[in-house]
Amino acid sequence: MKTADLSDLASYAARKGIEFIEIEVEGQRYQLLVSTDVQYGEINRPSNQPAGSFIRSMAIGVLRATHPLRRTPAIAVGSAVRKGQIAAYLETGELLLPVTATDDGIVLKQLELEGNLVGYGTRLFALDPATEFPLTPEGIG
Amino acid sequence: MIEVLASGPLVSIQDQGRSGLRRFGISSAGAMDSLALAVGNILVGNDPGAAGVEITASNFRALFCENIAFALSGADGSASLDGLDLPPDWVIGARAGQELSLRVPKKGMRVYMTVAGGIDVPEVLGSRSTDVKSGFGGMQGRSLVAGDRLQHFPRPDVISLPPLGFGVKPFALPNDLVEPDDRDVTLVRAIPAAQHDNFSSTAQSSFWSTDWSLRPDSNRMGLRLAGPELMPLEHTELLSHGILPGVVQVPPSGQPIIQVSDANTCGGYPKMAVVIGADLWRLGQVRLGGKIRFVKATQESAVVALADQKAYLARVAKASRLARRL
Repeated sequence: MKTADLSDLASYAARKGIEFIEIEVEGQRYQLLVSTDVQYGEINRPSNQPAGSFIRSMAIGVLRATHPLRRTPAIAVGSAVRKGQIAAYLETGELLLPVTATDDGIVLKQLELEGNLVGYGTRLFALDPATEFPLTPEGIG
Repeated sequence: MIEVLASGPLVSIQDQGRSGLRRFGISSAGAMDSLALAVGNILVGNDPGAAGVEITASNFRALFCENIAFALSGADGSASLDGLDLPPDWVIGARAGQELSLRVPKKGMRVYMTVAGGIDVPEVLGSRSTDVKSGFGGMQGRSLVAGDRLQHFPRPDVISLPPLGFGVKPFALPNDLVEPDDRDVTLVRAIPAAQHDNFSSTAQSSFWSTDWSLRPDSNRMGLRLAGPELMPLEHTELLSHGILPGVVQVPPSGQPIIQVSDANTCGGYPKMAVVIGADLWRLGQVRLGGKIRFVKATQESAVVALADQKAYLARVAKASRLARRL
């Protein structure tokens, strides 16, 4: 691919909110990782982190980390989250859909701001997956 | 079937009440927060008037003896289903053996639990509501106690829900009807009533400007307010006449009473104002010691307010149908 084409592809990805594109052209494979930090340097290969290290959006909607009738967010940065817990809400019109924590872990960071429109698969929280955890009560999730 | 494991003293089966019977002296009864009951019913796919459980300012625990969809609406009771935290205005499928627990709400007063199909208790005089003061309807005319078993009507179709359920946004009040949280003042719109002008202009302006406190002897019949004494211009005797939930009377004590769901059907005290239909549900969420302030409204604006609420419920219904297909 020509540099100009790569540049076009990167702009397209950034506009569409696509974070990662992998493309194979004429035997050459290209990976583009769109970063919001403007740091021009080496683009690192995406690390092979397990899927459970992010809580992702499973629908399109406006991110509500705090339920409209509550004052504190469903999960707090630095605290433990259990697989199957409601981590946040996605608002579409009057509807609030739950975002599920797909793994046990400690919440490292909220990756999208309250009120942001997010899409399917958007990473919402980064988790430090727990290797050991106190006994999870049965019946969750 | 749902088994009540623990219950406070003011937990009763309510639907949207009895209508058309006031001329026989039968009160409406029905959910104090009728909007919450409607939302809860819509979330589980019921008719908005199906019977549910009104849980007033108490802890509550129940065991689901079968797989069933249920919803919690109204105040936030910090609900937990087998350890899973549930927000308010939420529906989820419970599995047989799971236990629900609720706590006394920190904000608001009443939580409503609705189940798919609606609670099945005998209909009395056209309604499944409990008339607590007269002791009929609902669960044998009384509050629920530990050991009560709640049956529900079967649903012809199976509801499909996301594994963790879904919810809806609460009804958005107009900005001028919302006070900052820490003030704990509920603003309700009211229309001046027949004896409003029998009161001095000082009394009238007191009525409309005071943050009235809810006295502890308030209940499902009447919200008794504490504040400045309202004195009529002259003492007049009124014959008892028909009154409705929402009527604000001023008895000789000068302290207003707002008649609510279990209101008597007639009374003779002067009527200062009537809370509009669209704001009656708000009265159901005022806590003891909480404050109420009346905002003057007109019949026209009251009708618009009711239409706004109907539109919200239609959007909730649409959102619920969408979510049940996801």
